[in-house]
Amino acid sequence: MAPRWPTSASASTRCSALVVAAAGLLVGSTARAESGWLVAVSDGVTLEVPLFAGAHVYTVEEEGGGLDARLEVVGAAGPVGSDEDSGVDRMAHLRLEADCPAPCRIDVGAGASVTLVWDQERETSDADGDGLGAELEVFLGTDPNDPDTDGDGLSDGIEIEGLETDAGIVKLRRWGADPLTADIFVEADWQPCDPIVESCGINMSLDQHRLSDGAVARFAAFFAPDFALHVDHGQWGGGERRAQGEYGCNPDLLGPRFGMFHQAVTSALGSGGGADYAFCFGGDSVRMGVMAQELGHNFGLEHGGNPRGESVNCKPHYRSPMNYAYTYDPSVVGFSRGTNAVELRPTALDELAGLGTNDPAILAGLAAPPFELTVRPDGAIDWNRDGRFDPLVRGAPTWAYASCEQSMTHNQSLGDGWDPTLAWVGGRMALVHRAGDGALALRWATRFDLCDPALIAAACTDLGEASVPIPGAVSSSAPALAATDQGSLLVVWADPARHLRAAELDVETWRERGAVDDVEVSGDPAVVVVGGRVLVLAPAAQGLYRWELGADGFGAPIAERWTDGAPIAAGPGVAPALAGDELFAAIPEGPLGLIELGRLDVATDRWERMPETIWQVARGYAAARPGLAWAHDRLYLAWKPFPYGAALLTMSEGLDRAPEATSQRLRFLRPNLFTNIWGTIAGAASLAWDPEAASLRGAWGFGTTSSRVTFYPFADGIVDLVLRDQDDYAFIRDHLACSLSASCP
Amino acid sequence: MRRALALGAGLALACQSPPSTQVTRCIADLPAPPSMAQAASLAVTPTVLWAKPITRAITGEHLALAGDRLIVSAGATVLFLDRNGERIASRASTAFDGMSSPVVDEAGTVYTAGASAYAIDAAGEFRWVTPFPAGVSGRPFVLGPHGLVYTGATDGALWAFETATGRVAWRREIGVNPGNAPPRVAAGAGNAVLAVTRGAPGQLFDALDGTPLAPTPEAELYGLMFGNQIGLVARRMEDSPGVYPRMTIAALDGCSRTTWSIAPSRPQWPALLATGDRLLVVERDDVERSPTFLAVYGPDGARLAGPSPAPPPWVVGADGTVIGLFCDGSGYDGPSRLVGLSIDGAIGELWRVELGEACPKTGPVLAADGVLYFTWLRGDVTELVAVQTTSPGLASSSWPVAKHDNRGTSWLR
Repeated sequence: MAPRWPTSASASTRCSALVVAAAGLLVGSTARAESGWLVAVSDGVTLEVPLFAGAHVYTVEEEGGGLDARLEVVGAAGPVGSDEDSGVDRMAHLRLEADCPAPCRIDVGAGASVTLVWDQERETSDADGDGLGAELEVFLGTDPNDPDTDGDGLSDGIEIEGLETDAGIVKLRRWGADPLTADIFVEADWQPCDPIVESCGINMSLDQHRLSDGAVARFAAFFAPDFALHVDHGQWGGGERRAQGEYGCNPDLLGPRFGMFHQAVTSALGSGGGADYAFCFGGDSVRMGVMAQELGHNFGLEHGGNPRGESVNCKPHYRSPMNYAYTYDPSVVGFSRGTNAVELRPTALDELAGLGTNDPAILAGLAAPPFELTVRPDGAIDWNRDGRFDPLVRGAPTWAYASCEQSMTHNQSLGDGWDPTLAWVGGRMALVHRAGDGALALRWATRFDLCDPALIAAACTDLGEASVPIPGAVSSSAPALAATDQGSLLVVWADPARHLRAAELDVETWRERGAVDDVEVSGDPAVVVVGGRVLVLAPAAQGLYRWELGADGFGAPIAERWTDGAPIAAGPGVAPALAGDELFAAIPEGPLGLIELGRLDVATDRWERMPETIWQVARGYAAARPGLAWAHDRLYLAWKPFPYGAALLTMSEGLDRAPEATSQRLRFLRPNLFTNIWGTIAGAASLAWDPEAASLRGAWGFGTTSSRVTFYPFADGIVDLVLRDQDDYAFIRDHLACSLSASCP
Repeated sequence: MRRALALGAGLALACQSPPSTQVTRCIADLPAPPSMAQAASLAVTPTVLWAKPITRAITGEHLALAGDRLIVSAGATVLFLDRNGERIASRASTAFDGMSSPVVDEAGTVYTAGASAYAIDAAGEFRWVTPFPAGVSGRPFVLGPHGLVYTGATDGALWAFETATGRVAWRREIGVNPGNAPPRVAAGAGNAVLAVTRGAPGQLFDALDGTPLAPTPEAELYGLMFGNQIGLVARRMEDSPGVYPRMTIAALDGCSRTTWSIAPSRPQWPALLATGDRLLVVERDDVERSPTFLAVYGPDGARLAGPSPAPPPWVVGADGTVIGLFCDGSGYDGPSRLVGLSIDGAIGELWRVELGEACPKTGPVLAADGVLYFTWLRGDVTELVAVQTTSPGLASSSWPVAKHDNRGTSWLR
């Protein structure tokens, strides 16, 4: 027989008070009296109504309360039932096998307060099957016909009583669950800090990468008040130090918590990742914007929000940690609520309307990194960054200096290969790449309008997987392309002996245009057609040389010089581009490939070095031939950084070199990532203007030691999409439940 | 004056001559011990002077001080700040790759590594840039006296570059750490550079050509810092059931022989060296947030003071004050405070300054006017913090602060 616990006078007083406090709920009607719950019970309660056989009586742990409750139900005639399951860490649950006439006393032996629940109808009136009787649900405020009233994927019954399995106990209530508030539970493991090879803080803690209480509070703030985020970072027996290799997206790590918890691992600064529509994620233990974003991925949110297909990163009016532009912004401490009604269409932007607000705080935020937009106090925003405010422009509002992927929409991978190079030829786009053995091959694209705006990651050109070899063309470096005045395609390359070769495709027939067998080039060649002349530029013998390609092949080489007479030093290769009737070239010089912009001075036939002031923020260093194109009345420049890294892209405000100019100046903006920080470029970059669609196309090899030919149909970031703000909270709510089991549709 | 590494008086532990074929495997050419003289404390009241946001980027492990310039690696940029925290110059890396914590030479040239090794002059201009192979990046440099800088890279190699030209002087593969973390180049002394790779047989390499020097005779005993008298302070992680590391602390002579050691009775680890090569050791119980204790050992291993309740030592000042840093939160959470401690005789508190609700992230620098600088994270923003202390610069000891001196050179002088 289970012992009875004497009730002290003071405890009785306290319990009486509780009963009185609850009396209105319990005794106001017979039905309501049969089920109820009371928090902070330490000794027991007396019910003034009977409990009948089949009633369930149980205790629930409270945070900081008792851990080892035992129950005894005593009627006027003596004990009716008791629960002897008094194992440590287990709460008591008793099913009455006999009636307990009023006054029915429920004694609780917990040593500290617990929540006491008695449920007369669990077996007789539980329509939704959540383990809570109908009257108890009324009392609790939960929906008797919905097993998960708050829609968080945790049933009302489990949020009240928890779950006990052979594998362990899930004490959701003790950990903060509320069936009326959507809860998100996270078990956060952490990587160990190794003080031999890492900095583990002044306390030399092996748990330096564990989430701190402060970090958890900041993490939870992102979800509040809509969702209550509860994180077990070790205090509830779940989160623990795990060595590398011991974690991953593995339900076994959660044990009995699987289906109720998300699983995380935290680590040193600078990491993060989250699975879409799943239960696992990770990030560093300091930057909670990253953690919020990675958990947001579990709910299916993308960097542009939802729907996934239209998810474009770095929308300026989508203030969410999901957005790379705002992940680290200290003023963004919650997800977006979708309150900005402005729709931004990159192909038709109203700079005078801006974001529909003249809120100084918002405008100041847009003027600051990472957007660094020029704004006016009236709310006008220079979306296309040309130094003017116009009512209708094309621009990339997602252009920001934060790994913003503005050129990534509808990009297309075309298999293994190096140095894809573009040219607009006779109303279509040529793309030539070199295979691993150096063989050059050609593709054509004639259509770029096959885009489904709901599938921004899907290709939308008619570029095929297959390419056509260029007969006899084997290249040791990036090929060069140009359209002749007659509308044929000209290809120049350096053969394995690093001798220049040229071929021309006229209609369907290739013909050789010549070779240079007495000079070894040291980098990537370039070719440009200007004023009826075909000029080939290539580095060789410490300098940059020019050959004119005529009907009889290559002419004699000319050493290129700056207008001051200085020879142009060899770099990895130059990128010429015609801007109106002026020929410019991006000229990386010297061993680091410091990029200069030159303009061919017709009078002297030398290159005028553009002044240092055109580089507004930072100069670029190119490890391979850059790409340069005249588009949207400005110059675009893309390159592989020295010595390796993510592809970079910048554009000038315009081309005006007049000292008094205040807009559309020849000034390059801060270099931006072409795609994102993972967008490592293998070799040369290529840009080409599509005059029919008024779009800038780009191509480069993605990779480091291997390379995939990748085509970027909207390198300028100007895509015909409608960019909107969105309510993240609504989206999260819709995916709370399915994410727990990775079962979202 | 240069000498071979000799150890504490009375222990007759001077490096014994090994067989002639192994003579060059010991550390040689060590500097004489620095002066024991201590400066007078400044007549100031320690206080927090200011805290200023300087970047949203992640900063490295430590700052550097060159004259009146503070140097901070902030993501892909090295910032040159004046003593008020205002930006004077900056230099982005060529590939916008993350730059490691800076070290600075006497001329003010900054050495840092990312996808390349970089030397940046005081005006923020590149002196040289030497690329690593594709996909490889380096970690903080150790600056040696032989015209070389050393780093461990993600290819598992120890690299030495000529400071004048950036040319690779030598490269030796020694393996990566778990998680593909690069070797940690920790320190240097005499003709030896210390590079730690867990599981690798050796950690001392000839600074001039990368030849391995005498390997540690005991497994998993990894060097931390050099003292002129104490030798190489090394530690070994013993089984640690709790939060804090139980380290066996050992002093090794120039031939990597253990001269004395302290077995842990509870979690302990070596921190800094005060003047006279007094080793400051932190002890605490294996209970999270347990009180910390400070013990002081002489270069011969004799316990001189403590363990006494005190925060972990962070800096040793020129006036002999040991500045401890108390961080009560986990991670980089505060509250935190600085405590000035006397360790001459009994360990006692001299002053304290409450810092606030964050804990410093980077190792500090301490200027001659007593201003201590460090950074901490407030949310995702890095702030530079200035605190007035009573200490007129760093102690003349051989390892008065993490990374050894204000310039972060990590080389025994």
